[in-house]
Amino acid sequence: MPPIAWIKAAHIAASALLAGAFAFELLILRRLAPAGDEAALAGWMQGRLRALTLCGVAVAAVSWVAWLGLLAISMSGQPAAQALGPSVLGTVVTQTTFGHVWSVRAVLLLALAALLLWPQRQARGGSACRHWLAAFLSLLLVCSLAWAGHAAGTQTVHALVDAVHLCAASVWLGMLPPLWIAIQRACASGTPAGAAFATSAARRFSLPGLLAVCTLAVTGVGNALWLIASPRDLLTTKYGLVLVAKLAVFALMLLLAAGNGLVLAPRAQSAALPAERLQALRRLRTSVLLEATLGAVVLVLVGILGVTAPAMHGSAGHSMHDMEM
Amino acid sequence: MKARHALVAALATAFCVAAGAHAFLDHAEPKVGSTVKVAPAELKLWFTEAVEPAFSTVQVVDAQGKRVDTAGAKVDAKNHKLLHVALGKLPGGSYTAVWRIVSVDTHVSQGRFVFRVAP
Repeated sequence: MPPIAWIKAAHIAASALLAGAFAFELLILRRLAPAGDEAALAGWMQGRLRALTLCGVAVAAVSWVAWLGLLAISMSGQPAAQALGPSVLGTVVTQTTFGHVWSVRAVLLLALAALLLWPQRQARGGSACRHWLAAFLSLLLVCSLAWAGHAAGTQTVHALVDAVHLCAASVWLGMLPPLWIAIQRACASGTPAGAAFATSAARRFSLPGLLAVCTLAVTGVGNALWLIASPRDLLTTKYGLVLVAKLAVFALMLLLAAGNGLVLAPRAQSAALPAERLQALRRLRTSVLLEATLGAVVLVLVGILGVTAPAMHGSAGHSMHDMEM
Repeated sequence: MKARHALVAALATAFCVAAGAHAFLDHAEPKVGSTVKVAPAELKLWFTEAVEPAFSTVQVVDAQGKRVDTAGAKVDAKNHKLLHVALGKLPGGSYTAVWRIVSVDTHVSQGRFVFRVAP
């Protein structure tokens, strides 16, 4: 697996974590309306979300710079010492489509970092406004990734479909780490307030998770229409095989998500005894961790897909070998 | 049943025509491997995807390896999938076009092909 694939996977993961953490705060945490001990837990959770978003911005920024450097080397065909100089980097940034996307996304990352690091002295209304703005910027950050991949070379409508796909994936995958943190906290503390907080969060996760999965299914088919020449290519090309592997992992994640939303979370919420509730929460914690791990596998596969020629070219005979005569 | 057939046909059509990404040589003028009677003033290469002008190059060399293109490759102003390569006056002989292009989705591809001039 080439370094650029790892960098792409890391960058997409960091971007997804950012979008997911903001989505968790706005779609779940702020709708719980906790009181008493649960309110204290919500405050603690907000601190964890802030740490997650700061970590996401940092990893996204470093990987975005690394992505630019690796592309400068491959685009120019020059050794790293020359390719990473101002001349080649400047040409990539100012004269290529990726460079323009890179600049826009760099500004988005800077704006997000500024929003996160700026001292919070405003009233509650100002804080909410800041969170919505940060969430919006994080979604733009995720959307704009569509123009840094295969979709940039096809049609605008494909890039738009891919942008929606990326948004849905980011909301789903990015909300898993905060959900796991909330459940982990409940398991560690063993308090009724912690358990109530975690089970409420898990139940509220179901609706955005379901919407994200439905969106992923539709836009995933849309993406395939642009990048797969025929269904047969799914099994006869490298791109197709990696895509099939991604779909298989996605199917496993769906099973886990269904189990979490339909069985484990309701069981934890309805348990009569604290011990039963704790047991259900522990199972839910394991399942969410497994789901998040499979999500990470999906992102690695996305990184590989990003550096693999789509199946269209494998089957259409547009290889370099065919052109050499 | 008709609706089902129509859906299958629509999907099959979409699968056949819509695929893309990663630029490869689609065709060229003079054609890949062809022999032409009249020496061309320029070589044209059509790729499957828009290319980045800043990092896309085409060189044309004769049988002795001497460059015969006069100004490198230029991306067509209206069609970014098309590259123009101005050529000097070509005597009869065999010529090799060597291309290395970067597509707008950042992928690098390269290749070469031969054409012949036989007045």
